[in-house]
This record gives sequence, C-alpha cells and structure tokens, in this order.
Amino acid sequence: MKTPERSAALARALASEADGLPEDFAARVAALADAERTGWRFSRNDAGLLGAFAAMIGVCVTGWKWFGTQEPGGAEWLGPLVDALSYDPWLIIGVAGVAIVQGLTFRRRATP
Amino acid sequence: MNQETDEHARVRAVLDRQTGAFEALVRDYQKLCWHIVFRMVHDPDDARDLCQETFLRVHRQLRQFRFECPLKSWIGRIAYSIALRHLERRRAAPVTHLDDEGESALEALADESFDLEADSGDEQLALRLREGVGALPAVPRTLVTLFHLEELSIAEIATITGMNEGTVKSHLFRARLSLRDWLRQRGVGEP
Repeated sequence: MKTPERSAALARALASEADGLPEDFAARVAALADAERTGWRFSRNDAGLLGAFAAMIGVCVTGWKWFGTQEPGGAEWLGPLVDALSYDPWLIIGVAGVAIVQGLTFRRRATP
Repeated sequence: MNQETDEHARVRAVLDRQTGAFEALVRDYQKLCWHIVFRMVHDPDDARDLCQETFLRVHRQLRQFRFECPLKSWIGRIAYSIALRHLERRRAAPVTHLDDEGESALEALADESFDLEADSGDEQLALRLREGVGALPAVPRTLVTLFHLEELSIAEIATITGMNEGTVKSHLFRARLSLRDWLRQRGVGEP
C-alpha cells in the first residue's frame, strides 16, 4: 500500500486550533516532577526490591537449613536466630520474591 | 550538533538535574503530547490531566530510555498509551483494528477526484475540516493529526501507536474518505 499524501489544507485547519494547555504548563509539570523526586513513596519498584531481599534471605535460610545444619555443630553459632527463621514458608517467600522481580522486569520491558 | 547527540545531551541534562532542563523538554514536546491526547480523549480537562501524567511518567522513566527510537516517538508512545488506557477505563472503544480487505480499492477511492487542497481553500472550509476531523473515531482522528499536522512519518506513527505501517496507512486512507463524505454531505467539495 502506498503512503498517503499529506494535505497542507488539513494541516492548516488543524494548526489553527488553539493548544488547550495553560501557559505555565511546563513550569508546573517540572515543579511536580521535582516534588515527586524528592518525596519518597512506596512504588512497585520498591516492592520489587523488598521482594528480592526477601528472596535472598529465604534462599539463604533454606539452603542453610538443608545443607549447613548437616555438619556437626554447623548451626550452633547461629543459635536461636536460625531456629526462628528456618521455616518452610521462607521458601515460598523466596520464590514469590523472584517471581515479583521477574514480573517487574518483564513489565518494564513491555511497556514504555 | 546532530539530532542524536542533541537528544543524548538533553536527556543527560534532565538526568543530571540541570536547572530548567526538564521544563525545556516539556515545553518542546507538550504540543505533540496535546495533539495525541486531546485527539484521543476529546475532552480538554481530561487531556490536560493526561498530558501532565504523561510528562510525570516521562520524568520517572527517562533513565530507562535507550535511544532505540527518537525521543519524540518515545514520548508520543507514552502519551498514546496513557490516552488509550484512559479510554479503556471509560469503556470508550477507540477503533484500533482494521481488516485488511480491499486496501487497494480503498487507496483508489481515496485518490479518486478528491483534492482537499482545492476543495478547502478558505477559512470557512477549514472550519468544516476541523469539524470533520473531530467527528472521526479516536484513533483515526489522532493519526490524521500526527500525519498531516505534526508531519510524522508513517514509521514514526507506527512506533507511537504500536500498529504496523499498513494499518496506519489504512486508517489514513479511510479517514480521508470519511472527510470527503463529511464535506460533501455539507455541500462542500462538490464540483
């Protein structure tokens, strides 16, 4: 299919319509962007980072539980902390964290 | 300074938080943004809010811009997707799909003895044309503006809208036909 021809008449007609943005639009948006940058808010990226952190902890604790504690006295120095953290739900938290990070990465690539 | 280097420089300036850099970027692209968003949503208040949302998103995501397309197209794409999402939320069908049947016939029809230049010479007819464009569905209305007013290439429009180039051309030919009918129904453009 060939490319349509441009119409100067159509361009003139459309150009004569006023732009509906206020005079100070650029300044206002720049100020809002600046305020947004300085103010912290919990975004999906933050949630992703938190998920990644939870994943890291989950994998470490699960790995320690499965392999580290097989050595005699291996877990003793961690003491009660390992006992408190080494539950199976951590594995789920770990997998969920990785999934969140992957999902966010995919979303970032897929949308502008 | 060529366009590519210029774009790198201005993106760098915004990322380095140079005073006034982002404001200048907004000023340069706000018209394009308005043309896309307003043609899509056809409501000035909504369009103003969505333009603001567009540039705030540009500001948040500028670090992710990889210069794979011109900055203009990237910003246009953000504006288009925000406007499209707005229409979807309001359940307003933007007409994005066209069948491929009869494209050559469409092309021939659009070419057939209809010359917008000759038919719309004065201000009164320009007004009619604007009304005609306003009566088109959201997507063709936007494409007509990007092609005829912003003078973007078919490839750039395809990048902004995510359509393939053939679909963009089909929309433009159909829009031209609709405009012809619009003008003729109002006694404009008749020999």
